Amino acid sequence: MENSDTVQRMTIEWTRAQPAVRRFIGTFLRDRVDCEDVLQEVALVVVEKFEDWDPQRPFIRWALGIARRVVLAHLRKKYRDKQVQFSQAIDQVALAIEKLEPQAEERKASLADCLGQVRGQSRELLALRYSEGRELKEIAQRLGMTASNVGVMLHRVRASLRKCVDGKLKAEGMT
Amino acid sequence: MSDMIRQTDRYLDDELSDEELAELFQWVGANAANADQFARQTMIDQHTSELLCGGDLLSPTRLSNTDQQASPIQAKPWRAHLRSPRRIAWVAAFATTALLLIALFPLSDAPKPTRPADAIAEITYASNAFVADRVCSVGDFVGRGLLELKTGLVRLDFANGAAITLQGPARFEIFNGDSARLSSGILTASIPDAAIGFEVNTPAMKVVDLGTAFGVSVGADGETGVCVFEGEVEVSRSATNDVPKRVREGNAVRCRPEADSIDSVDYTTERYEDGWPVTSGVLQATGLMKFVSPGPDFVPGRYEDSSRIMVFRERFGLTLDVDLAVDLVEPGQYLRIHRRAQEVVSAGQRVSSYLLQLDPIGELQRHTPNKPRVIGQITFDQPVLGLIAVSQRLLATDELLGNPLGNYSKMPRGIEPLRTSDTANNGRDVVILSEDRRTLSLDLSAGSAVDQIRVIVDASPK
Repeated sequence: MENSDTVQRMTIEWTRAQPAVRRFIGTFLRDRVDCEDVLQEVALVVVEKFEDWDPQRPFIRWALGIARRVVLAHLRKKYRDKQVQFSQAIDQVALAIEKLEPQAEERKASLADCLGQVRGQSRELLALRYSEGRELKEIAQRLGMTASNVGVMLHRVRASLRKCVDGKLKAEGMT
Repeated sequence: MSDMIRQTDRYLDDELSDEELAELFQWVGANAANADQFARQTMIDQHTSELLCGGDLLSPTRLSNTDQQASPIQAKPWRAHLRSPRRIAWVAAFATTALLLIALFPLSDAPKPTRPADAIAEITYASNAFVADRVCSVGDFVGRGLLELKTGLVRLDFANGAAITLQGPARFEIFNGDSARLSSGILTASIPDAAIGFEVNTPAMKVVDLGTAFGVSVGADGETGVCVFEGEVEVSRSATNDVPKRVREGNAVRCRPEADSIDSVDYTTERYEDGWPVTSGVLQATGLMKFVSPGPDFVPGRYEDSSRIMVFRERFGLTLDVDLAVDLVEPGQYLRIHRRAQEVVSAGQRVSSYLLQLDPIGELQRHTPNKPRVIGQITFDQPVLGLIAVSQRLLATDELLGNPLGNYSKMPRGIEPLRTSDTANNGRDVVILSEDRRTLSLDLSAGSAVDQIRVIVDASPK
């Protein structure tokens, strides 16, 4: 770790991989603070074990491998008494995120376009859910609806956003 | 599949029972196609959150503005920004015992759009900001008219240099470059000499700036509070010929629309603490870095916090008469600040100054092992022109760049190595200035002495 070339290499690799690792952690740890804590934990392991990384393998895969173990440990602790099996899902999602990562910025840019087209109550719904971070029951109170209806509406808005993003990517020759 | 798409959305809203969660993860783990669908859905959710939450403030990605009829906001063409090549502005480094890895992206590499002839102000900061059913974006121009901010924060920079940050929900109507009306909501304002006389009208009061920084809050019933952070303002009841009353820094007043008088009230600034850093030129302060409350009691020497790096605004819009000697001007990571290094910010430059301070708790000894480390990061709205981190130079510039109300110690308080035998990577303080010069990262060891660094920021008219 004292070697400045090693530090530089690690910094570059980690900076590239970090968004995907954060996205992976955030997929399973929905609380933003938990997510940041675990990201930091993963980063520390990356520093500690960096010399174990085989440069012939993609760094992102190696870093996601560390993140998989750390996330699994957290979920096992969180759902200690529950019958929830995470390990297969974690492994599969890590692979899926690694595959999706090269398109991530394009997907985000397309989503920004699509969000700009949302109007009226759907826009208000997104603002309450994402900008203000409100729970469904709070949104329901605000809009005079049931929480279940709010959930259905959000599902529809998200579905239309997904369709919009996929359409834009397809038009640009990406799948 | 469609059931599980719905279940995934419910998962994103924290609506699943334990049994449903188990069922969802069993499905996700069953094969690559399911995991791919799940990952795509969660990615859209995360991106939506980043785009709408202001958490992606430093990304070049912006939301679109396509509807321009019902608002004074004039959106600039933005698509070019979205597709411009992403550039990693800077990469932080690993300190010996603390991990510090941050990649930041400059606000934009694209050329600045032309200012429309009828533009009065420009949006220079927007976070979670919705106007009517649209998103506000940095770089949008605002003309005469009503700006109804539903949520979030927006900073408006007027041509005369006045900076106003609105905190939603707020109704703010711009009359011209010198006057506006706040019907409801909260604003903080910083008014330079060139804009003295700026007026804010509310249902209950007229507030006229006399060279100052202040906050105004208007409730749903029109009750108005005014809190003066720096300088002074004149206030009078709306639609009366009352002799205006002067309110000086550190004081506050309140008035209802039908009231017979304007009353003095306790000076409290909590409601302005979200908007004030933005008005002051600080777009973001993260980690253990905190922008202090506005007001004469919150200045160096009068206010302390032992566990965080405090950020004090010291001077605003000062033009340098002579060259100013500083310790650092170039972006990069610094493990040592050399006493003899001398760089200069040129005479004639207009600057603002900020003091960043870590004042550790108790009497830790210099050689105490495992000293606590405090890491923080701050992003300014304008480039950093220089840093002063050597005690001698801090002392020498207190009078020129310090807050006039501050009480600055004569003791050593810089972050340079105390002895010539100190070497890099020995657990001492780390300073990183980003490539775009707007973000400063500090990794400080909480030793026995106060650590201070003075930041000189460009305050040239934009």
